[in-house]
Amino acid sequence: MIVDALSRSGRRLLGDPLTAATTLLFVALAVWLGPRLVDWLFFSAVWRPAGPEACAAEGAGACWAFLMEKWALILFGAFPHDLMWRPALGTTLVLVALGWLAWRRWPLQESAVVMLGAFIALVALLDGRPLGLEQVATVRWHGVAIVALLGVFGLAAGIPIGVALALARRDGPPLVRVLATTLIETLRATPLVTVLFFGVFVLPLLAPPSWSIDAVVATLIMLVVFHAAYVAEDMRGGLRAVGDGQREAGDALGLGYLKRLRLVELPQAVSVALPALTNTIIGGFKDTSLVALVGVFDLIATTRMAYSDAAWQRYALEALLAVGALYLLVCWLIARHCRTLEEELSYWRKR
Amino acid sequence: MISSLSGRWRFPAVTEQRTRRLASQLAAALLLALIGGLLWFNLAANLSASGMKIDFGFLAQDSGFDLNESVIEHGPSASYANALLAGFLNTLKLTLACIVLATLVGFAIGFASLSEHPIMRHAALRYVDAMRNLPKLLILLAVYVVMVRELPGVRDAWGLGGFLFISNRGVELPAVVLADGWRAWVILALVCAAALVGWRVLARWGRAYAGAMAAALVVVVAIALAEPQVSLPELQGFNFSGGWTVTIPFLALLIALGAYHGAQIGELLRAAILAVPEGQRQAGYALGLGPLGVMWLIVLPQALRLMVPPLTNQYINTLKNTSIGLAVGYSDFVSVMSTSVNQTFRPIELMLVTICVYLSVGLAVSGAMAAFESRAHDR
Repeated sequence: MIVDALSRSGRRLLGDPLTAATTLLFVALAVWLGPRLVDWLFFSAVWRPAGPEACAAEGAGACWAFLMEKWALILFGAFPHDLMWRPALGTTLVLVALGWLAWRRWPLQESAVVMLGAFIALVALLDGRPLGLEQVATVRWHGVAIVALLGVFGLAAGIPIGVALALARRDGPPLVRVLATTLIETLRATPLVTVLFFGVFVLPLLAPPSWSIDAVVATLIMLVVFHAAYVAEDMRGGLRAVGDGQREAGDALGLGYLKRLRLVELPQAVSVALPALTNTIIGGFKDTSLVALVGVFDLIATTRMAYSDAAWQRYALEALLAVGALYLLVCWLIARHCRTLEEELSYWRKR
Repeated sequence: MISSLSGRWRFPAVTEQRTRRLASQLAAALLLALIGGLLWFNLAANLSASGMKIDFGFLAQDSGFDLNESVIEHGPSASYANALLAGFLNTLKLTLACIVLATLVGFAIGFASLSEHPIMRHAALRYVDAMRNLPKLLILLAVYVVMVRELPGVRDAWGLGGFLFISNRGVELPAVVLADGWRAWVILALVCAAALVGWRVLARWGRAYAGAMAAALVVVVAIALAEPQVSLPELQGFNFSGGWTVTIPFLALLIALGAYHGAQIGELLRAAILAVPEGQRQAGYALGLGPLGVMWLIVLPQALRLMVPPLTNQYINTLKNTSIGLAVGYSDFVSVMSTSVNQTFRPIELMLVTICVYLSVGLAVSGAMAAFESRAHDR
């Protein structure tokens, strides 16, 4: 048995000259690169808290001392130092809420209530005034708090609005249909950076003069609208795949419009659109980082802030690697959860 | 029985439905008019409060800023319209370069991810996973900081026999220079396009050989008239003169977006090849073709046709994603737009221009796509 498996994998790795050469190439690469990489990442790396001169020493590897020095700046930016527990607690609350809802498989009403609660809690903790704490202006909301606020709630609000847009495009009166289509297609043709600039520059001009719309609010609104357009496009495909027969069956049962959507059409449409929605959600979460280009300090902008310190400038890659690992983890979790949902839904569909 | 049902059951009254539809239509129109009116009222109030008017006249004024790289000439005394055009051309230049690189990377990754070789397949799949789960801005910044950190200064530039220099200013390459600058390139491109069209027309009339000769003659004469010269990069003082410089921001964007979209194109190719029915492959083997022949003659032509719509989408995404160039100081369209907004404070006009440009490019490409698809259906 073992010999069999060995000979099979041997054939696959060394079967003919070309295969053998490829294997050899990969082995050579691994032998050449592997030890260097491991050495740079771990053994020669500066692990203890130290100044930049320790990392500049001959033969020193990755400079994790940089992260130890700047971790608070990277995670919380310029949020007042002694109040850092507030964004930390708020972000944790949001993560707990997401974990709970993911475990409960997103029951509709509960999700709406819990997400709204988490949003209010996060904003209250960051701002401080509703809890009777010291106010912190939105320009100092930085780092993970911004990722939680814009990344999570931009998508959380964008998904229902996107579903509504898709329905408006399909079922609305002609005028609404035309407008929804124009909105969706314009947003999908425009880069997110431009949409965010629109929010920062033009949105304040469209609001009543007495309102002040700062960059965080403007980017949140634009992210919601932007994600909604992409969700609407995914849902359009899902709704089309469900087909007219189901709609007519729902009508024949005497269900009203909303009930028909909720009980017949949307569950099936979502299960068809789920792979596309997963891509939209992961892409949308990653693209939240583009707010860094319009002056909102998300995790990537605070990382840049950390390595703009001249003494540490040479170790920018280490900080970017750490932030990248965080993104890899989060996006992997989202993808895995969506795949689980997909499997459960397809099981339910087959029955 | 009937009476108990009649409460729920109504025969669809056509007139009632029509009035309801009309009412909802009217309500929607009213609501939209209300929202539109409110936005317009706010806009007017905000503009009059700051004493501004919507006016595109500023586009003809001097921009007052320089671009660190540009396809056409641009200086502080050139107009805003010129700056925007230069930015747009920079975006197009970067997009074309990224599309070429991403397609090459994508085909390599796509074939590798379908390879029989387990290490190769896993390496390709993990690469795709990593690119799917990392923000493009992060990839771009990582490429950029590594380049800035590792590349030598101009004076210690890595050279390759006097033809190619790599330094932290960029990559210096030998260039073909035409006597009349970029206009000559445009004219040359137009002449070549005209020659190609002429050749096709003559070929349709059964004069393919004569047409090819004539077209070649026209192109050769045009190239000779343009007086091409080779210019080599040369180190003079603290900078290079001559040659053609590929700047670090451009290169960082090219590598980052090429790698990022390459992974996605690889996934598209993989999906397209897997979508070709197994029977086609078996039929190919039954005809006596080898694995390469089956791939090249049977599978790939069908896979590529399946791949065209998503690939076009991916190319449009590449165009949109070049807007992250702002992060490393590349003067693309969006970056010029944001500089102009900061200088003139005319966000509405500039936003309208930007959105119209992206929308028209997108519509043009999807129109071309639709034409291609209907042609592919006709076959």
